[in-house]
Amino acid sequence: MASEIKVDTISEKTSGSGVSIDGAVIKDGKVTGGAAGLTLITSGSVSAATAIDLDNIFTSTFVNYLITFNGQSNESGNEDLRVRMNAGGSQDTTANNTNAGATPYKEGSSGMNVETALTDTYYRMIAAWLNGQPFTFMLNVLSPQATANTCFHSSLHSMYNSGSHGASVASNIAAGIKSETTSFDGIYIYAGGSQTMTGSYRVYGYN
Amino acid sequence: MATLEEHKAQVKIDKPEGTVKVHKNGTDIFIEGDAYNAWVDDVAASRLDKEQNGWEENRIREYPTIADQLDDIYHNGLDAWKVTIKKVKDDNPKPGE
Repeated sequence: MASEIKVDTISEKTSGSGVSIDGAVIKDGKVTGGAAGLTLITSGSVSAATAIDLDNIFTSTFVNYLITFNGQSNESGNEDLRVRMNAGGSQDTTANNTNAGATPYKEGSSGMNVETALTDTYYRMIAAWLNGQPFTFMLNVLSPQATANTCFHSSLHSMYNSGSHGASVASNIAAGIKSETTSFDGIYIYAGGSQTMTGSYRVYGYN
Repeated sequence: MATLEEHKAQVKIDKPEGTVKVHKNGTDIFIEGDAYNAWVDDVAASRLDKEQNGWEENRIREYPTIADQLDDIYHNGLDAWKVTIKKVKDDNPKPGE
């Protein structure tokens, strides 16, 4: 029995099944099973879009999901970046989302804005939008498919112009719960105002 | 102060039907019909909320910190401090004030 195999390429034999190695399955560039960490589910680029609407990304394969965005905002304004869950291609607009977030910033000296909500129809990341300036966020979505509440943990960083203090930057750290045990399969991420975003997103699954 | 219906009308002027782009499942689409109207409702509600409640958030954000205000009072006196505070209030008026 060989203790080492050296080849240049291993391809799946049975079309559609991938390659299995000691419990881990490699399929179309993605690794699932075993002790896998983050697994890329989908990715894409948006250009001047007011929302990212993704269906059929949450499945029974993973319990939790990480969504990242790296890009810029295209219009200025103080508006939230909001999240709604999708089920069967439709947004869930039930007013059962809690949210608490803190936004540290520095204007002259320093400060922090705190916002909370108990019955919003969305989860929110407090954002500021400044035309043509960097805009990035990471959003963890816990248990969207399980018969348990869907939970959110996020961080967002953006630039803004406060008027009296001029241009500045702010980061928002927030968490919240959607008190509903519906099995969600998608997500709708959108600007609270009519701002748009340009950049790239990635969706990872993990257990 | 504008009503919700007035905000909806303004949103439709700012972003007419056929101009709102959504990245849906890897493809850019311009929402129309019910999807567009639902989007208008959301944006208008957000604008109304900002109009009614945004002044407080903006004031909190724009006031100097307590440390800076104390420093301002120590160096420049209460009258100068009041000028600074009044500007923030005037820039972010409370509805009905």
